Amino acid sequence: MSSAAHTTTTADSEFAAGLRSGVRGLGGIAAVRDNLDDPTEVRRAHRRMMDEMGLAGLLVTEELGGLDTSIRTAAALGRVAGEVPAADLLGPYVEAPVILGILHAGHPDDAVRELAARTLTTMADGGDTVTVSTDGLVFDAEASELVVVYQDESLHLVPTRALDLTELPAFDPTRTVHRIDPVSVLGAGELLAAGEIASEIAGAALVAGRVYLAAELEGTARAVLDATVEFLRSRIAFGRPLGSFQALKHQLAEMWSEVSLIGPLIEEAARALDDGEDADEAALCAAAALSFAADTAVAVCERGLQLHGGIGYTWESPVHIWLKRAAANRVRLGTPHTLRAELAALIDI
Amino acid sequence: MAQTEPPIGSGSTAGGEGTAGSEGAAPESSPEIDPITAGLESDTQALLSAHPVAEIRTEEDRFAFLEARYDAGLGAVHYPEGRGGRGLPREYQLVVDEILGAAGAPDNRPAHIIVNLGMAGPTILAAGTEEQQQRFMRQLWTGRDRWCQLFSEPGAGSDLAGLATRAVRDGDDWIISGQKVWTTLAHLADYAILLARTDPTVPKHQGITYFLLDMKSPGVTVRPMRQITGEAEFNEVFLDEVRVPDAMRLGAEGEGWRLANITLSNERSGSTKSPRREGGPIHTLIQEWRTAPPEDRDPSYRDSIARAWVRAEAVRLAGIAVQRQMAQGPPPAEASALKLASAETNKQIASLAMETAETGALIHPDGYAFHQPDFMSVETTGRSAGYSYLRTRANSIEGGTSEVLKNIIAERILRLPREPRTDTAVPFTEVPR
Repeated sequence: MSSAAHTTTTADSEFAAGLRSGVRGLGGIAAVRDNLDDPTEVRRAHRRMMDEMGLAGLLVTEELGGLDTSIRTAAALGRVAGEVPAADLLGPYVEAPVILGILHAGHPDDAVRELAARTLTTMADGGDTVTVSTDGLVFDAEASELVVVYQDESLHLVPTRALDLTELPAFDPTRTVHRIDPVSVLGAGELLAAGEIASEIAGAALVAGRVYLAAELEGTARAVLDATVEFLRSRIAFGRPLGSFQALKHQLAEMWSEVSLIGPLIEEAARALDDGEDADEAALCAAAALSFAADTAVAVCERGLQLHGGIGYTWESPVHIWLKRAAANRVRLGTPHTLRAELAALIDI
Repeated sequence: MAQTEPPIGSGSTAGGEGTAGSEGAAPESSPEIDPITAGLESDTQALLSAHPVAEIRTEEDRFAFLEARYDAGLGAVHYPEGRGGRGLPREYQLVVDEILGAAGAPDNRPAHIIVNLGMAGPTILAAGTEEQQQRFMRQLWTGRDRWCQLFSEPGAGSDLAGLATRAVRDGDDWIISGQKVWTTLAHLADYAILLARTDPTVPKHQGITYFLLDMKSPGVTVRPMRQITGEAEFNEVFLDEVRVPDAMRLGAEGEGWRLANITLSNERSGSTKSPRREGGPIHTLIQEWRTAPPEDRDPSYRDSIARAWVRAEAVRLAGIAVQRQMAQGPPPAEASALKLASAETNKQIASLAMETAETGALIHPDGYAFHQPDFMSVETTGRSAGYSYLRTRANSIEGGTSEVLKNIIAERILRLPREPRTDTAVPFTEVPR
């Protein structure tokens, strides 16, 4: 039906299929919905399943025991993760390996390279989970042993238990959000990098993270669209399936057409990163992909909710879970407006 | 209805060349040179040796070269043997095109013969008799004959099967009367593909027959149809008791609708050129903005321009992905979405360019002078904001309206129930018109 027809490699599809069947095996979106008041257990089960799949080693080199795949592969997983909002993949499986990988490959200090290598090896081995915080917030902190914190132009590696964390009520109920007390970062762990090197590395992780996040938004948009199509096909009113009314059909066709434009932007951004194109081109493609994916996904969730009618406004329907995830992802690594401002500067408009 | 360019926004069409410098995919199966590629390479070199490019000077020389190329089976390699091709997968065309492009050989100007290559050719190959193929295909491919399409009527656009042009049998001939519209290049055409109703007593889709028409036949009148840009890319064609030999009927009586679908499905396929970043309406918008003095660049437009840039880039990349798939097989589901998104995006961007031009948009340097272009192109790169704005209004109408495309996406891709219809099961004569 409206499933994606992306140009993915076999390896990408295998990882994606593995993650999809893993999430389904744990009850899929229904399990998330049924445990929404306290999703801790579901989240933990998802995390365990993902670690067992070796996702933490996805972007780690083979030399350190990882799978050495690509941002493309990470994007293929993002699409699946967006379908069933679950434990956070962005920090532990994308940003952390990117940051530590750059440190391992090129930091002038032997001790830092060694520390990065050790940490990456442990991650790839399914040991410690390492997540990343770049804006004073950390997601799913309770499921991570270590946090790479970027603050005041410095990168630190800090044990989670050494951080002073305050849990905040999360808009997206499938994740926890904690605020980090910046003072608790200093002296609690290891300084990885400072100054220009640190901000460049954080910038590289941001670009990779944006491509991943765009894919997650695409997955969410497709999930809502599929659910809405299914609902309008089966729901009868005025003696006809709702999906036979042109006023509703056309909305679904517009949604499908918009969603089908997200994938090519992501593919291009992933290609730019994987092929090592210059940093500005990669940043441009990533900003384009994420701004478009975020706008489209939120719009599709909003319209999907409307097309579900009253049922779409209930706690019982999964539509609000997708909507909340999309709205949260829309602001996580830059908003569509700020992304377009960055893009405008890059293309001289 | 559909009479225009492939929606991808690039000039080249089925069976055409013009791929030099393009990013088309090479046949994937051949890490080393396979025998088919090797054969095409040596035959193409042989063609060039027998007909040196340096000796092609006149238009007649160009046609002679193209005829030799066709006869060598190097015209469109996916065409059958003896019909300008070799029955190979379409992607092998790149092997030939790259060598000819590098040698600077002339091509058959695919953008000038879109109907030949994208519509008439594939349909004649699919349904023509041996005699018809022998008579028409060579001249059609080289462009010596130019073809137009007589499908749409004043009362039959999106509802093409509602066409009312009548064909009545008279001995070995048919007598055809009616009116056609939106006919691109009819004023230059030698032949037409034509749909006419041969049996109004059966349901609308069943009574249609497909004809090939000599445009010089008595009773054919072509009048330019002026459009909102002031020019006339299209024509009206009046058919007044035009006598057409039965030998010019394509396929069986009543088979016209099926064959029309072959014609229209090929309209959208075959382009191998990759559109460049910032081409089309976004080019006009961005260039005018970048070259404006900084004090004239009101920052309140910036977000909308960036948004337009992203949309244009998304459509461009989606277009490349669809092209790549169409080089391998039938159009993917995304092709309909792409046509829809591309039309609406072009319109939005061209409208924004008119706004950012501010009072500059009061001036229209292209003017509205009447003229008839000698080839059709929806390409607006490099045109003024005013022209792009007006020309893109047609994008969501030509080649399938956005409304029809939404029905296609909803019904064929999303499998939503069809709109209830009252016109398909009754004789055509009983359908309200």
